[in-house]
Amino acid sequence: MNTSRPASWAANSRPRAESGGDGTATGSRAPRLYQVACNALRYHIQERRLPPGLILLEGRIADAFGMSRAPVRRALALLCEEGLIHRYDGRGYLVGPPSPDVIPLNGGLQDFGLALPKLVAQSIGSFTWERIYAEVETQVVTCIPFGTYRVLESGICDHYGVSRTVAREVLSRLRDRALIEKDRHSHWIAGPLTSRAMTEHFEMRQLLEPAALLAVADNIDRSKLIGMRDRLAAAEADLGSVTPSLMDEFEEDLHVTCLLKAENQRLVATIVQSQLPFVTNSLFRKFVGVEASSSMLPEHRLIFEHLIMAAPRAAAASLHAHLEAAQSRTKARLKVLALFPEPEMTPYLDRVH
Amino acid sequence: MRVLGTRETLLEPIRRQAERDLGFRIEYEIADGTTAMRKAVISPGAYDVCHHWHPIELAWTARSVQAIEVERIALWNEIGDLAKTGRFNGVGDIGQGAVPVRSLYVQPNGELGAAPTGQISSLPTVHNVDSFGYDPAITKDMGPDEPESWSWLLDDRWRGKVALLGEPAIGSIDAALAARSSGLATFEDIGNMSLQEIDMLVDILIQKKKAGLFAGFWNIRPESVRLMDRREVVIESIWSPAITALRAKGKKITCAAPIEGYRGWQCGMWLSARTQGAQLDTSYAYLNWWLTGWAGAVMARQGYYMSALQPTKQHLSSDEWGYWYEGKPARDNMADPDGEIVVWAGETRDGGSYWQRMSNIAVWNSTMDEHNYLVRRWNEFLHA
Repeated sequence: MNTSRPASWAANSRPRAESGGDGTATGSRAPRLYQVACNALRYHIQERRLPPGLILLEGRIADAFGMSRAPVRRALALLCEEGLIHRYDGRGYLVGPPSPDVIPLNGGLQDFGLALPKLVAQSIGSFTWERIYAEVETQVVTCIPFGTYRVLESGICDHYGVSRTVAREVLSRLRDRALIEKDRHSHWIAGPLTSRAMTEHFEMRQLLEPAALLAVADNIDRSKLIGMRDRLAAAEADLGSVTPSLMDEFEEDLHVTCLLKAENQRLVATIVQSQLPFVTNSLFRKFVGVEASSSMLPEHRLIFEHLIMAAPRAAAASLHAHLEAAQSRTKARLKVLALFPEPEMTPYLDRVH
Repeated sequence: MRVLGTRETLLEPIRRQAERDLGFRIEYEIADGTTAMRKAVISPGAYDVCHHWHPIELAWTARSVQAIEVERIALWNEIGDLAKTGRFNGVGDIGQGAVPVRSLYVQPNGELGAAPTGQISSLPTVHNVDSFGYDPAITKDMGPDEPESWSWLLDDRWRGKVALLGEPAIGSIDAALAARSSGLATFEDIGNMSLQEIDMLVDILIQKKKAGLFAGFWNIRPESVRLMDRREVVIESIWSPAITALRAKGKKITCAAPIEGYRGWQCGMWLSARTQGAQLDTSYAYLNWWLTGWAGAVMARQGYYMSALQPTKQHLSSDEWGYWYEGKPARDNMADPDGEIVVWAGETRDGGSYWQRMSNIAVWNSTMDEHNYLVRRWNEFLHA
């Protein structure tokens, strides 16, 4: 963990956890993450909530605390120095001092009630990555039509006054959304947004979204479907009143609200990763300032009509046809973005070419 | 009425004649190709009609232009098959890339296609084939059998004396034709290059640039004239009005007829999506006027062809028609649109007749699928 604390840290200080009997007492300053982790673990061990011999793995603790591994690693090292836990032959640490009688005990940490107090957990969550994630994502998404950019971890730290752990958290979430990837030098790279990538995403969506629609068709409230259908019909009847943000909402109604209800989380995660084409349409609206095609409205409406009529296969077929048409529209819009010069970029985005 | 376009079509004599014939005021706004395209797409409120030699695709995608009703085009029947069906001299499917007819007709779903309907995306007008021009002196050291080839544009024999068109969409096509003809690269479809092909092309060009091959890049036609006129350059990608401009200065540049074929293009007239009411009526009047022959004759005198052939022929002398369209020797000296002599008696046009030249198209001006990527990488080459 980066121990140097940026100057803006205190200024952006999150709500502080009050001192209490749960071992997460704080001083006059907000605790660092490793201290939070260390105090919580110490409390659970001293209260004998975690039995002697329990295996402590940094990854599992990080998951339980909702933080990255680095502060957990440091907390475990401190607790080991204090003699509350010890190293053994296997991976990780065992609870309690070294003893020949101890038998390594494998178990889920949640089973022993290991968690951060709710208030602390919330403040950590909002402080660590959520606070800056949306803005970083917007910056990355906006840059990719203009070329290839390196996303600088240290630049994010400097720009937002956050630790490397936080920056890494943000980067890993961008990677989960397939917005960045590592190159052969282990640099995080965003872009370029190409027609080929667009085609690949649409091919994935054509495979997955109709399947997801079939899976959720019976679980969507009929009155909601009727509501969505009616909103589309109203927009078609009065195209002049359709705003870009309303178009965004229509996209969201179908492709997010309905489809991502699917229980298969792998399916949902893959669909989310394939929805990069939304970026093009959103940028197109941002730069061109028009929603140049209303073809999407009747296509979406047709899908809802079929769902309302309890004809999921017809709905899935309509969705497939919609995605095919959207693919050619989106590829055409990507070309229009070439007319726009590169906007001024934020300092943590470094142009590669 | 406000007209946007490039200097190749927005000629002052044409503007004045149109005002005289039509009886309303016409303003011309001249820009380079990229700027005119950007404005046409982003600022539809800033013009009524745009003349452009790029495919209409970007402007149509942005819905910055409106469909033109065929029934309001009086001389629609005079427009030739090349524009209306894509067939020329009885042959279809000429060349790769964005064959203009494929984006001519507005289809029922609002997209563009080749199937005829009552609405068109743009009114086909001027068209031609482009290649490169060279100082005939460079052929002195060549064997008599060495044919004109795009490969000459990347030939180290003329290191430091080559210029390229800097505009990305078509400059890259010229460069790709040159790279392919030189055996440096292969392309599956030169009018729609893949990411790898674009990367390969840009790498080759950067290498050539660093080795000192290029004397310069031009974005507007007068720059291409200056480069050749000052003898800094002996070979460059070139447009027909630059050839006539150099001839007017007494410099006879050969316009190559490459064995690999030309890059073809067709200029369209676009109607802004914002133009309505009386402005729309005057815009239609202006569109129709362009087909009546006077403008076509002026265009011919700088080497451009017109979609409505017969009305154009009526406004040219038989000698002019013979030289510019039929590839016949000039019987007398001929002037360009500015009145300067650019053709001398006895000369014939490089490449032959309209039918010979337009049949020999390797690829049309295109906006490739990877256009956005191409533009960014092309700029990298220009700044390397």
